[in-house]
Amino acid sequence: MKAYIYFLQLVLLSSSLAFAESEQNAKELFNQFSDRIFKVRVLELSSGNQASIGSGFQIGDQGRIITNFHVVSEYVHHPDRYKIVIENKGGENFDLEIINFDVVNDLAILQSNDVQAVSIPLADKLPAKGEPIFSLGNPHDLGLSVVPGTFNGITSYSLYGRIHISGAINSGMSGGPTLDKFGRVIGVNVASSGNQVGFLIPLEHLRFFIDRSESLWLESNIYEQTIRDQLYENQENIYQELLAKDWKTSKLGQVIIPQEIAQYIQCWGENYHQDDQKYEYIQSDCLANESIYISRGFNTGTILLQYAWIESQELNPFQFYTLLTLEGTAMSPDNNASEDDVTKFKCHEGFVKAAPNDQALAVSKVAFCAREYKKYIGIYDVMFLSMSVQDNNRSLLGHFSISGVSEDTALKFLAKYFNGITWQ
Amino acid sequence: MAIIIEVVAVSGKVLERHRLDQKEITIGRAYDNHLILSDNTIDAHHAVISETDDGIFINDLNSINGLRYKHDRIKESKQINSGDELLLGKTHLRVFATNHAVAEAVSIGRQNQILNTFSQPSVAIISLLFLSLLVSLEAWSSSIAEFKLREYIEAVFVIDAIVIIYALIWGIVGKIVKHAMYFKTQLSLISLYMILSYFMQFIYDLLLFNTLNYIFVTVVTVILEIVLLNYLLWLSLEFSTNLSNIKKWFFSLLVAISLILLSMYTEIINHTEFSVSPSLIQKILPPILRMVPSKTIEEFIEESSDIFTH
Repeated sequence: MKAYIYFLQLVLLSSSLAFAESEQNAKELFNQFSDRIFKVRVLELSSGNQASIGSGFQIGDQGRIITNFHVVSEYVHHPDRYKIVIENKGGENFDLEIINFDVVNDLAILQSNDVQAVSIPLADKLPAKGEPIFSLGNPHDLGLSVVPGTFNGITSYSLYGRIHISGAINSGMSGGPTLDKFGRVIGVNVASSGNQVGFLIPLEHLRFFIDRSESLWLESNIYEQTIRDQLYENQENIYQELLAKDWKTSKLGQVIIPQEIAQYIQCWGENYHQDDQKYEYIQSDCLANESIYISRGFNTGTILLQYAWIESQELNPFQFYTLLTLEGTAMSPDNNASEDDVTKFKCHEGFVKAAPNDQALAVSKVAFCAREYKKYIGIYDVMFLSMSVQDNNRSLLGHFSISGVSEDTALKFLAKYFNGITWQ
Repeated sequence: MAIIIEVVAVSGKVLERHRLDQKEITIGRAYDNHLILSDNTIDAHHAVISETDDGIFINDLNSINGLRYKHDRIKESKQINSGDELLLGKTHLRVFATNHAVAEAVSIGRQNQILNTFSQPSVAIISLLFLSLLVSLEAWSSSIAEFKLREYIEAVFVIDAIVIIYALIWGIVGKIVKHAMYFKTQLSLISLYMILSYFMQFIYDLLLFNTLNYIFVTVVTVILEIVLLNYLLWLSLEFSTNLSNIKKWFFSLLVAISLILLSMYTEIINHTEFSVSPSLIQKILPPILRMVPSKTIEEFIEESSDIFTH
């Protein structure tokens, strides 16, 4: 089960078409907006050390500042140990409080009464594809910079609705705005995946979030519960839709398997065969290449389906099952989490036969495992592994990992997944 | 009447045994003694042992290094009991009256007869060959690459070397302690043990695959492994040492438990400490070895709710 990281690198190789013409614009924007972008920092109270750094900008006229959730997440998880500080162009520092955050869309809204800044207006609509856009922020803590890029439209197949742009969003620019050529916000910088490929939180999510935060002020003692509820609601929404519709299937070896079960899930296949190899190995990896950032080293909201078809005419049954034993050991979950975040996996193992109408009398040795989030009760990472064991010389390995789901979602997903596998 | 004097090693092993008819027995390095000893820490005329109607008496003859009885240095005539030990210089002696009771004979019994078959060269050779066959069979059944004779020869060579080294070490111990090597016996023992271990590994895989109950199968196997290793060590000790039965049991059990638990160490760590990947039953076996019925996915899902309890 190998690299499915290719996705991010493959998405866009085109670059800097609009750069030359937009240079002039960038200069103007820099002058116009240099006093409207803040450096957002989270400081540890006891030592004064900087825990994270990002960018932010003011919206409206009430001193409200937008940034990413991941920029201020240390504070959200430990409000007693950290504080949020912003710095303006003149080097003045102001303390801030969190009004609201959205862990799924990676947004946070902060409030200060002291900041006197000009806000940046939101755009009414997104620019046309190919139009120049400008990402503003504080890359690598080097001071304000404007990075021109090209708008490529919202990927229609995005699990969490990100915009991708051709332009360099570097760490530290997170939370800063991306503007159209009229200087209006079209999205919030959130991530980058290598050279000249950036991701934004789209205008629509931002506007919805601002509206919802209008008359809100979250108390720090309900931060944890809020994250839990947001994660729970998010998985309800995603899986309700995913479980309701028919899954697209395709054939692997002698089996029909669920593959691109949603448009935001993409599959890559590989066929390993070397001359001196005594078996055939066909692999298919399907995943939604997006996740939700909770804290450093802990992300969730991932979906991964993996299959391998292994067949051999040369190996005897004992040798073939030695091969299966070796292949089955390489399964691990798709998201990152540490001992502070999740419990140990608990597993249930057994032999399960395929649906009654199945012709091949398939039987699989299956393992179904779950680990709970320590702080977010009722939310689990779930893993399933099956290996068909009815034949002497061919087998289907199936694996899925879904993170940040409820028990109900996990069980329904398993049933739909397993019943979607049909032997020919 | 007569007196029996044994010269014994520190370990208790009898080196010499003398029957002396004299009423007064003189002991020393000089050739006019009744019992002549060659230890140079002993005086020419060191001590005297006399037998009277009242019992056995000992006395020191002003020796340089003295005569010790129960850790005390003897200054004047002292009565001792039959079977007591004396120390002259660095030499240990045991003194017996002729009417001293001896233990009953140990029956050769069935166990020893079975054990004697282990000393047959044919048994040793056949078990070693059978073990080699098993090793190659195992290598063959778990090979997924091209056949390479060299790999089989290496696998067999390694196991055979371990077996032979084990037998040699015990043989040398036996040669020193009992003046007998029992090399063939030890070779048969370790070969049979290894054969049983291979079978046990197979039974373990079979049980684990069919029950999918890791804890139960592992506990049963660990107990069986300890019993088996304990027997091997007990028998090796029996052939190569003079230890008492209790000591043999003690040592063999102690070593067996320590070795097996030590080999389980990483397993135990894996099952108790946090890990990002779940620990699953890895080994899967061909259809011919699967004996349990399968469930429907609905039944499986119903039983799965346990993994979600907090």
